[in-house]
Amino acid sequence: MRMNNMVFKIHGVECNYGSHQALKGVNLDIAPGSFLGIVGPNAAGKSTLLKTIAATLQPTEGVVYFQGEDLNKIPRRDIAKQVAVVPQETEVHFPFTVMEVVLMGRHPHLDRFDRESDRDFEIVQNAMESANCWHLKDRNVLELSGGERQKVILARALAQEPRIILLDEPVAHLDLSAQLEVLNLLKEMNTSHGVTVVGILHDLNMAAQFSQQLIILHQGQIYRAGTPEEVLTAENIKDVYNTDVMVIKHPLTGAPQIVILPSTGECRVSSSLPRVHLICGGGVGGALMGQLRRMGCYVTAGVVNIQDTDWEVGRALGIEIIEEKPFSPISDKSYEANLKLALNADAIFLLETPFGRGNLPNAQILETLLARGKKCYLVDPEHLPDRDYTGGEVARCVSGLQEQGLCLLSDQLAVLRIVHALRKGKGNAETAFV
Amino acid sequence: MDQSTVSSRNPWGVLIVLLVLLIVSVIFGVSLGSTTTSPLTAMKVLLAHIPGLSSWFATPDVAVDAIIYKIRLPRVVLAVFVGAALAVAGASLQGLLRNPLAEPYTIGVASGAAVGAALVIIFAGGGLLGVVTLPIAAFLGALLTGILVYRLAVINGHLAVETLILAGVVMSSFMSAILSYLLTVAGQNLQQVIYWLMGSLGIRGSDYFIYTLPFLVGGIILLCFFGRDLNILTFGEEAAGQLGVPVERTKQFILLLATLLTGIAVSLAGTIGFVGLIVPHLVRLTLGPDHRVLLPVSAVGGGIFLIWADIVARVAVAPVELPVGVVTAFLGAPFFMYLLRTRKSRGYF
Repeated sequence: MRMNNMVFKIHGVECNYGSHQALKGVNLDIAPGSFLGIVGPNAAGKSTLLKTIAATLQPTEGVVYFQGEDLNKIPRRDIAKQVAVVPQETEVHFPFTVMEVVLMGRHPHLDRFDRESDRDFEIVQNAMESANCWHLKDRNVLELSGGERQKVILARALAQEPRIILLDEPVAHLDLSAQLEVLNLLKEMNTSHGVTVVGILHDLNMAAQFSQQLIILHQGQIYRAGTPEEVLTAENIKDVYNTDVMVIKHPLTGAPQIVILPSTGECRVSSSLPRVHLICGGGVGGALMGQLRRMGCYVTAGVVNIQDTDWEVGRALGIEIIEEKPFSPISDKSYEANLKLALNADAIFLLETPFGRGNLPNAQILETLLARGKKCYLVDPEHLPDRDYTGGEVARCVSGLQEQGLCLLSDQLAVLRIVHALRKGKGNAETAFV
Repeated sequence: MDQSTVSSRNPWGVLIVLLVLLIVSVIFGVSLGSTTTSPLTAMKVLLAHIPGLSSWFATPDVAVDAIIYKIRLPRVVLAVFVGAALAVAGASLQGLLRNPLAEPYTIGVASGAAVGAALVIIFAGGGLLGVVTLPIAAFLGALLTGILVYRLAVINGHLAVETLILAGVVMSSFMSAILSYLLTVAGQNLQQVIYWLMGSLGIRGSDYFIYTLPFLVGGIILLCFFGRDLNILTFGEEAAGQLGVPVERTKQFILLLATLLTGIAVSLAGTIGFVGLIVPHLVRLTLGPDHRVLLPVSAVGGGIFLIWADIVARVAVAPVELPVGVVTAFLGAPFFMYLLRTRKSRGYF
C-alpha cells in the first residue's frame, strides 16, 4: 500500500502531558474504508492517539498526515467536512433541543450567513433515524440519559456526512442492545458506504467482532497490529492486561472471543489435597478443572482431543493433559500415557463424557486402574445410556466394576465433596456414598 | 421535511413584539420622571421632530419639548444602547465560557473597565483628551481583566464553571481596591466618580455618545453573526474544533467584542450590573438557548430593561434620583441567587 493512498499516516508521533509521556513514537497507517479498532488497558494512550488523529491535540513530536497533508496545517472546517468525532462524553450546559444539537453537525458545510436549507434538514433527519434518535428530536438534551445523549452525538457526527468517523469508546455508557445497535450502524456505514471507522473499543469481544484491523496500544506504543485473530491471542492479552484468558472462536462469526478465566495465578497447590485425574472430553470437564485448581488440587486430565473445549480450558489453566489429534480415536500410545498419568493420581473421575467408538478406551481404562488399586469414580451413571453411542459397550465395560471398587457419583458437586473428604489426615472416604 | 417541527419557538414573532414594546418603552421613558407628561403628549413631541411630520404636530410647549426632546430622549436612547450592549455581552460571555452565571459584572470585566475609566476621569479630566480616551481606557481595562480572569479560571486546559466565577470575584475585589485607592487620591472629582461608579445614565451625556455609537452597533451586529459558533462552543472547545470551528480565533474574537461592548457601556454609564445576566436568562427561558435568536432578542430586551430600570431610578424617590446601577442590583442580586439555587437543584438552567 502506497503512502498517498492512506487516509491517515501517523508518523513517529509522541505526545507529552508535562513530564508524562502518553505516546512514545507511534507509527500507523490507516487505509480508506478500513474499520480499525484500538484496544489496550487504561492509560495506554488510546484517547491521546485518537485526539492527535482528530487534530484536537498537536503531537509533541512527529506528524499526522491526512490524505498526504500535514493535519495541523489544514483548516478545521475542511477537516470537519470529512472527519467526525464521537467523544466518550459530552458536556452540555444549555437546554438545546436534540434537533438543534444534531443540526450543529451541518456547521462545517454552512457559510457564516447561511441558514440550514431543506437539504440540511433532510440529512439531519436521516442521521437521526440511522442513529435511532428521531423520536427524541424535540427533547431537551440536558434531560436525556447518558445512552440517549450518546446516540444524539452520534447522529450529529453522521450529519457531518463524514468520510471518516473517529470514536472514543462510543458505547461505554450504553446497554448491550444499544451497543450492538451503534456498532452495527458503524459496520453498515463502513461496508456499504465505505466510511472509514477508527474506534477505541473497550470490550475486546466487540472489538474482535466488528474490527477488520486491530491495534493493541500499551504504554504509549503499538504493542501489536493486525487482524483480530493475529492480535487477540491469550499471550498478548496476558502481556498487556496481565490477565489470564482463553481465546475461543465465535461459533457464528469465527471472530476470536475472549473468555475470562477465574484467577489461578495465586492458587498454590496444596499438598494436603488429593491429586486428581479427570477423564473427560466434550466440554464436560472445564468447569470442574477450574474449581479444583482454585481449591488447590493438582489436576491432570486425559485423553482429550485437541481443540476440544476441555483441552482449551485445561491448557489455559496450565493443566497437564494427555491429548489426541482432533477427531481421531484414542491411540494405544495416548492410552498408555493416560494410564501412566492416572496411576500417579490419588483419585480418578470419569466425567459425563459422551462415548463413541473413538474414546471407548477412556472407559476401558477404569478396569485396569481398579485392578491396580486406584480409587475410581463414575459421575452420573444414571444417564450413561443416553450418552453411550457405542451400542451399549460402555455399559458392559463398567458393569460389574462396582464389585472391584468403582464408586458412583450423582453429579460434579459430589466430585468436589469427595475431593474435600479425601483431604489427607481425614481418614478414608472410600465408603462415602453420595 | 417540515421545518416547524424543529421547535415551536418562533423567534421572529417575539422580536417584532419586542420592537413594539421597545417603542412603547421609549415613549414612557421620555414621559415619566420628576415632572410627568402624558405618554400621548410625549409621542406627539417625538413625532414632531421627525422630518416631514413636524407640520402635522404643533409643538405644545417649549418647556415640555425641551424636557422630552433635549433632556430625556438622549438619556433613553443611551439606556437602549447601553442595555443592548450589556445584554449581548452577557449572552455571548455565557455561551463562550459555558457558564450561565457569567456576565460583564460577575466575571469582573465591568470593574476592570471602571478602573480604566476612573483613571481617565481623575487624571485627564473632562476635556477633549478625556472624551477620546475614556472609552478606550475602559475597553482596555475590561480586556485586561477579561484575559486575567480567563487565565485564572483555566486549569489544565479546562475551563471550570465555578472557578470562573471565583476568579471573577477575586478580580472584582482587586479592581475595587484599586478604585478605592483612586477615589482617595481623586480630590475634586471624587463626587463625580462615585456617582458614576454606581451606574447612571444621567451624568455622561450625549457629548461623546455619538462617537461610540458605531462601535456599539457594530459590536452587537458582529456578535449576532457568531450565533452558530457560540452554540457549538457551548459543547466545549474540543467538540467545537471537531465540528469545524477555529476555536482559538473565534474565542478571541468574541471575547474582544464582548469586552469592547462592556468597556464602552461602562465608559458611558458606569458599572450597571446584572443586565447581562437577567435579560439573556429571560430570553433563554422563553425562546431557548439558540444564540442566533438569543443575541438579537437580548439586544432589544436589554434596551427595554434598562429604560424601565432608569424610569424606576428617576421616579422611586423623586425628586432625588437613584443611580440606575442600584436598581439593577436590587433586581439582579436576588435573581443571581435564584439561578444559583436552581442550578444546584437541577444541575442546569
